[in-house]
Amino acid sequence: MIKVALTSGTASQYTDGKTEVNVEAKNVRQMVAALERDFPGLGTEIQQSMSVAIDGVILPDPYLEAVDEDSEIFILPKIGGG
Amino acid sequence: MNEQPKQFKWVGTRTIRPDGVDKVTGRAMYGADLTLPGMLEGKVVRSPHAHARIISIDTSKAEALKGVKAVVTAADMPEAESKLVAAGEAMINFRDLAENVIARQKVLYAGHTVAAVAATTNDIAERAAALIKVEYEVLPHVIDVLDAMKDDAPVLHDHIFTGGVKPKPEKASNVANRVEFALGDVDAGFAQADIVIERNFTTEPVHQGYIEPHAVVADMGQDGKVDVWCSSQGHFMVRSFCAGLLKIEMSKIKVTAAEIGGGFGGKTTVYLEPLAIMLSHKAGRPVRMVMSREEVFRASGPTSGAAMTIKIGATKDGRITAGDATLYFQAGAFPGSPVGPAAMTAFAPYDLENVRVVGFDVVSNRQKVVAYRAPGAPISEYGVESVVDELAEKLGIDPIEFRAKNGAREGTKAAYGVTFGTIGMQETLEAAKATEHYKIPLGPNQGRGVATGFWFNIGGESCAGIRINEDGTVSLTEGSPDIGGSRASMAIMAAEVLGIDVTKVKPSVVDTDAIGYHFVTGGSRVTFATGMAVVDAAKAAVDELRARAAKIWGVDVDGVVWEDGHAKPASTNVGDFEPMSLAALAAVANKTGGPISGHADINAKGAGPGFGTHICDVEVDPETGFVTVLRYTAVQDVGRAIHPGYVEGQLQGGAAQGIGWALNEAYMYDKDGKLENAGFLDYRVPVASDLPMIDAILVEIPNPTHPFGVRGVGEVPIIPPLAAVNNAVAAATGVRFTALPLSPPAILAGMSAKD
Repeated sequence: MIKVALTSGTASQYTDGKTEVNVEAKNVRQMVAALERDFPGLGTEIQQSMSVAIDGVILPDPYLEAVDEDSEIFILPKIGGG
Repeated sequence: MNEQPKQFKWVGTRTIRPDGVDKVTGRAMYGADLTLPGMLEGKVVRSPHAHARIISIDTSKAEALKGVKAVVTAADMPEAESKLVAAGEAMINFRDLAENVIARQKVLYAGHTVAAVAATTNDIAERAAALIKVEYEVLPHVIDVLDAMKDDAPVLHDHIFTGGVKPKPEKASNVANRVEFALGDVDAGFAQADIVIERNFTTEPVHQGYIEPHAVVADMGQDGKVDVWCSSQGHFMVRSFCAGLLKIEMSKIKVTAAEIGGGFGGKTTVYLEPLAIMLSHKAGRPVRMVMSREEVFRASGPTSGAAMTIKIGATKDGRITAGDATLYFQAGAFPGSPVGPAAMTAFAPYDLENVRVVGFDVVSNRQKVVAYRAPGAPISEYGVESVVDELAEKLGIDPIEFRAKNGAREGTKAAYGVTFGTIGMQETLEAAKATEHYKIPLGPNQGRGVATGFWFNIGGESCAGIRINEDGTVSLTEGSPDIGGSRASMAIMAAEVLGIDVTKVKPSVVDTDAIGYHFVTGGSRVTFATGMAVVDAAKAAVDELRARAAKIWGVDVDGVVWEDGHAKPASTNVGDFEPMSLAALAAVANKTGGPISGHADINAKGAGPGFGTHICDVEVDPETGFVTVLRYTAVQDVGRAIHPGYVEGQLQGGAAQGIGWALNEAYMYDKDGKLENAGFLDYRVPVASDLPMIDAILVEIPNPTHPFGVRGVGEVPIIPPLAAVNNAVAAATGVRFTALPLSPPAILAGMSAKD
């Protein structure tokens, strides 16, 4: 099981306020699918408008990146810039 | 791993800018400089109303005018689907993008496009635009962000129901979205505090203020192929948006990035480009469109103005126990303010256990906001850094020491949830404290302010091509429009890897047909991400050069190394061969396998976060309230400066823009919601004579994920100035101001209230 951390705002919408959830996944693609299955709408929200940070590195378009139980995984809004 | 500094020949040097001569001699081609045979001039008809329903548009008189070749209204444009796309700092809805380009049923701000016309001359196009009759039903409007949130406010969009809340509201609202970030227990944190300061702040929207207005030439052929030449921070973005808005296949649109006279985030979307293409399609001739300065102000995006409440608690010994912020951001006429990044960055410079930030994205009858350097961060960090400074003052602790005590370090869990890797927050504070500037005594009515700033920095898609020419020179191609001297940095990095003189490398930003997709030039990503692609492409070319030498020598390629621009035997065991230079290998390339090149197409990851600390000295005239900036120092962790001159320029430019934001710039609307100061005379940005020389100090804590240690540098320097100036004015006057800009009347009023 991997631990996925969410912002409190996202958690209030999709996970009944839980800012950390556990799912079974070996990469981000599987993680997003598992989150969508367990928390309907969350996976879609991640794909549309969120980034995933793994071990402190923010990935705007994550897909096949490996994750494991030791990974620090955080879901946050996409970041651009001027 | 990073290369070691001692190995560098070109990285860190101040080479001549490849585009410099063209720019100082007037040879450089900007957006409005292209002229094509048969080209028409396009003009836009804009709404005079802040909020109105379009009843009818009569174009008949305009179309009948001699010389008019095409008129476009929303009826000519395909209906856009509701779909999220990346645009600068945020995701935006494609339907909103389409309706910002040209209004369909309602106009949502004074200046909103309702029609466009193309004619043989500018004069005829202007007369034709005046002949287009638009009948409106004027609706109540709302400008202020807090007014727009009231229950009785005019609602701009009946399909917007506040997102980010549960359950979904039943009533449409101007509050498009709510975001929240929280760590720990803020109430418990405040309970531990010996001192708690809470302040309400406001900031005004400010324009990016690029010197070159939006400009485009579009030419659509009878076969449906489109050529676009424009001033943009992302020609691939222009291709993508125009293809989506006009339902044209991407491969049929070629976009060339003209030289660009500034963008700062403001050119990460489209305004004129789809109109010019549609006019060209209807007229069968090329069309040029150029915004006037007034149109730039009335119709292109500033960044948000905001209202916010900041509350921070600390112990007597200077440890922050909790931070709480509520942010209300103007989005303009469509959702998409940078309140998300503002919320994430607000407390990011600090190592805090208890943090909560709530943000609201609010639409009103203003120009749609668009990215501006470090979107959102200058606003929220202005509030936080002002309160942090007040806490330090009240606790009697040096403001730099107070920040250092609470500042983020490697391993700190940022307030937005991510654990920092290698960062330079503490090092910028140390460097700032060590400056002579920080020690200079101040005189009467003078004050010194300090502030820090944080920005994430980003990577993203970039490509690069290295082609070794027959004479040993190198053509370097990439696709990131060059706003801040990036071609020089690309040439430096290529020369460093190839081991040749930097003047032998000619960098070019090529069109969308000539190279793979690039994300926009924004987010401080180009020297990092496109630079990474250039390094990879150069390394691929080196591998091919080694392979050619191996062929000539009849040895295995592993027996050939590349050093100082030459192929050499890896050891004496390989054989006794004279080193071959890049030029020598290029000269025989046709005999050893054909042209030599290297390419890279990447989605760069691992952009290193950036931190900066600024010091500002001001003198406030007690008679007039006028603020003179006496001294200014910008310190920043830049990872590694590939071209220090251009990095210093980024710091100086960001500081100048931030000082303007703090002291001068604001949008002023009349009672009808029409912008009153749509020009540089009344919207005053700082000019050279307003500012002292800005000292730039580069701290280099290399980013471990970039081959040369690069971090983005363009966003951070605009963040600290707002609070640095505010804190300096507070020190000079004894008044803690909470509204920007710090205009002389506002300062006089504040000083009078104190007395």
